[in-house]
Amino acid sequence: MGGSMKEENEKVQTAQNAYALFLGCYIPTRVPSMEKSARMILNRLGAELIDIENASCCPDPIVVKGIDYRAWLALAARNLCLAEEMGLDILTLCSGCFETLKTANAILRDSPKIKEEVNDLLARIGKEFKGRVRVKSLLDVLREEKDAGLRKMVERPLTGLKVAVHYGCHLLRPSTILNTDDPFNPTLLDEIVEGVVGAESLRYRRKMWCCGAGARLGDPELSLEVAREKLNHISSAGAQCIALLCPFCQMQFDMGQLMIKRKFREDYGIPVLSIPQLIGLAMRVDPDQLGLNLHKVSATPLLEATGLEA
Amino acid sequence: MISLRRKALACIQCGECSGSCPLFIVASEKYNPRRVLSRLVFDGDKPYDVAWLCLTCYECFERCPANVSITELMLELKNEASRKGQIPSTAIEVAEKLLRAGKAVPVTKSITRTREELGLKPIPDSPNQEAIELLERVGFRKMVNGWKHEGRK
Repeated sequence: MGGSMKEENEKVQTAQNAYALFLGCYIPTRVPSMEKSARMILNRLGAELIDIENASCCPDPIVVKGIDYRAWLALAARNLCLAEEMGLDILTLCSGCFETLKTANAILRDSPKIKEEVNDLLARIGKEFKGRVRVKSLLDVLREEKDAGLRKMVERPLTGLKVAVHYGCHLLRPSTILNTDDPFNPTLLDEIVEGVVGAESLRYRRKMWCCGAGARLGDPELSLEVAREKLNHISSAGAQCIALLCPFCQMQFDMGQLMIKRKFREDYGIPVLSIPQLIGLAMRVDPDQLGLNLHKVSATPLLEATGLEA
Repeated sequence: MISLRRKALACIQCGECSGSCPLFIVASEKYNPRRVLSRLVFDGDKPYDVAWLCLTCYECFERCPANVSITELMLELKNEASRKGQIPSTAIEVAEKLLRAGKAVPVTKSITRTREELGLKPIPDSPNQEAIELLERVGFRKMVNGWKHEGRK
């Protein structure tokens, strides 16, 4: 990776591999299994995680940004300031937080006028945005480690496991700002599933589709239809599980399968795992320790069939 | 301020946005981004209710050959709709939670227990005063109170 020289110079002196961890609202309160498994893997990789105290909602790039752009930018700017005060780059686990914070950081760095306006607001709470830290996603760290540290941690490659990778939207797009991977044909997650975990990443129709969660507030039925269309193709491809990084996508597919079962009498029964959980299984971590017992769609049949229970 | 209509003027009505939109593909009668743009440009219309459906997936944004920032346009439409009180009740709930705590998702007893079982630290659930103050300063509380006064559900 390596940012521009300017970015490197601006960066405050920090310990290598230390991050200001931004957990956001949704992962700690709704998908704690993601937090648990991500922390476990990051710790094993030797990353030093310092939780950002007193962070607010990121806020999310769909609903809050849809309601009021200025409120969205002000709160995001404050969160960025907290990491600046710690002198550490921000690490996000949630794709929504990643998009919000990385986009807001870019907006504030690029426009002196907007920065000045926001800093006038921040001055009221004794803060100032300086533009000194970078925003990274969990995938950024996994990418850096995938050919070294991560591969060494795997004790049991999940050979033969058929995985449907779901990229989701906010990790990749808007691509000019996020710059994570190709927005149409990304490969990073597939490389982790195949190269690190040792499983098979399936090709399937609608792979690059959104999970549909973004329409949940506007029209829950329509939102479910998007998830259903995707699940249909994931199932047809013969996937044994879904692997993803975003907690909203996780809830949409996990809870969504229960709702689809009730409404359409279609039972997909495909467990929805986060990438850290999948890596954890390949590290031979106890499934309960990865929070696999917390999913709505039980992972037990899969774990038993593949001999991954312990 | 550049008007929404002006931002949409570059649209050539090719339909790439709709063709790549998951919502259009599952329910073209309910959501058609190409049509939102033509309504903005030719009809001088503001389709707020349709904008609230946008997934914000940025698929059209990435693909538009005329470089219309469609997703951003939808977000602006929603902002304008919010100022006029044309906002779904579900979004009002999110706004109220944010205003109350600075967080969008409240901490429950069951999540506290689950976190404990997983060996995770408890989440502080005191309101984030600085975030709330910022929301006041940008007029967010005023807007939310305005919705209530209009007697919306």
